[in-house]
Amino acid sequence: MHIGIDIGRSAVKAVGPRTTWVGPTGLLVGRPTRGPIALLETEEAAQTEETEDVTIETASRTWTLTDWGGATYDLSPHKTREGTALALLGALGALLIAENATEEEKAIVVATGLPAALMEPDAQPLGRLVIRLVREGVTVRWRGRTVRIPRRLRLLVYAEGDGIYEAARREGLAGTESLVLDMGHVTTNIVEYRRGGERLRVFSLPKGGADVFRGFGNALARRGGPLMSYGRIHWLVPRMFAGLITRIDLGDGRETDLREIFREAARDFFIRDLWPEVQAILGDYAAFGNVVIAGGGAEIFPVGEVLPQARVMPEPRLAQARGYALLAARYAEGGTQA
Amino acid sequence: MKKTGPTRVSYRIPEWAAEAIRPLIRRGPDRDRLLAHLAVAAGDALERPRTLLAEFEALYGRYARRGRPTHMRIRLPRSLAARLAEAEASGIRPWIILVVAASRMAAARTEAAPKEGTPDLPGVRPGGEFATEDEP
Repeated sequence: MHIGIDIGRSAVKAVGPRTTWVGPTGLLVGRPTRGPIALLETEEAAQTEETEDVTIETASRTWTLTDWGGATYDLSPHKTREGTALALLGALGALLIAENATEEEKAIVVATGLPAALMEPDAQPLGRLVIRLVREGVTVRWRGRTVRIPRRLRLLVYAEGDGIYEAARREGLAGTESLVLDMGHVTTNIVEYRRGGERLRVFSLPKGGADVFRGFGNALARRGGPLMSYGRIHWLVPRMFAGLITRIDLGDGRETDLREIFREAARDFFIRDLWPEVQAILGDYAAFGNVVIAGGGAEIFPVGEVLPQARVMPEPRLAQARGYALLAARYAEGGTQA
Repeated sequence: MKKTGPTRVSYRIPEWAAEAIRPLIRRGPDRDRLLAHLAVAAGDALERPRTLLAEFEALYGRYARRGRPTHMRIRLPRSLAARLAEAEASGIRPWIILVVAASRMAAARTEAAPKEGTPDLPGVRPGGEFATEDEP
């Protein structure tokens, strides 16, 4: 089975042969439904069994991947800590459950990625950690079903951008020479490819959607809204875009539209902070090159205004994971083996 | 036949276009390619001006109105500079032809997807490979 997993900092995306799974990234120790952790969003209490929470049992501990406001969010661009490995294994387990994969599944090839400029030094710590955890035994529980991560696992670590490039090539959006702009939550990766896959230039700017979340929280507080932790903002934003919470009472009878404040914060951050740095790296590529854009940032930043020629991948948040799945399949067929 | 030498011309051009074109006009192989595309685009501007303008609008319509204009000096073959001046007289600004030429050059650089697994085009390679067993 060939699986692509994009370990994002706002959401983990996993793509298998038949199914796509998107899950939370906040991490709690134990099980929130019956452990020492109190429910933080009481209105969700009745729906606990229906949440996307994933429970991961390693040899030494039980963890839960969740989007609750009190969870810990790892916002480091270095994806080498245990939280990243747990997110990968949680997503793998949930996808295997969603795929109805059998225990006797043949060897599983998983392709994932690390921030492009940090990939070389960070691949070894993450890869070794994942393999150690799998050897010791990992069990994943999601939506009332349990799966044991198969011990025959092969993990391929690519650069963030590789998945988008591969997906774009299959879609006919990228050629042998293209530049990928991956607008992630914590890092913005810029990778220039030549000769159909050689990484010519690689950059990872430590800026992205998480900065917009912070700016949004600050803007809300300045207008009289509540002062929120990062976790609370992370919890709020998906519900805001889903249309569940769209307005907030500022306390004196006035209400304001949250989406408008968020859009302003995203635009402000992109135009002032992110775009000047990206533009300096792109050079003449900005106007004339074949630029492919993906990542969640492509949905919230006004990229069309500054890069009119660039091609935005369909469903940009999932493009990376889809491409990783394609790379895993190609690797298994022997296409990239030396 | 008498060989025409280069001449230095100055065009008023939006800053974004000037920034993007300057590196192309300086480098050796890129400059040669750009001049080849510029010759074709100048011909199009004289023979099919509406098509060329439509191509420009489709690519940079919204973008073109942004940013301040600046002056850019370029060394061009005399015959090519004359054709651009001729196009300007007929109503198409040289910088629009320059931008279309540079864009066509970039598009030509981006070819169709290559065949998989060929030695020259090996595809994207992983930076790390890990297995729970020696041979899965």
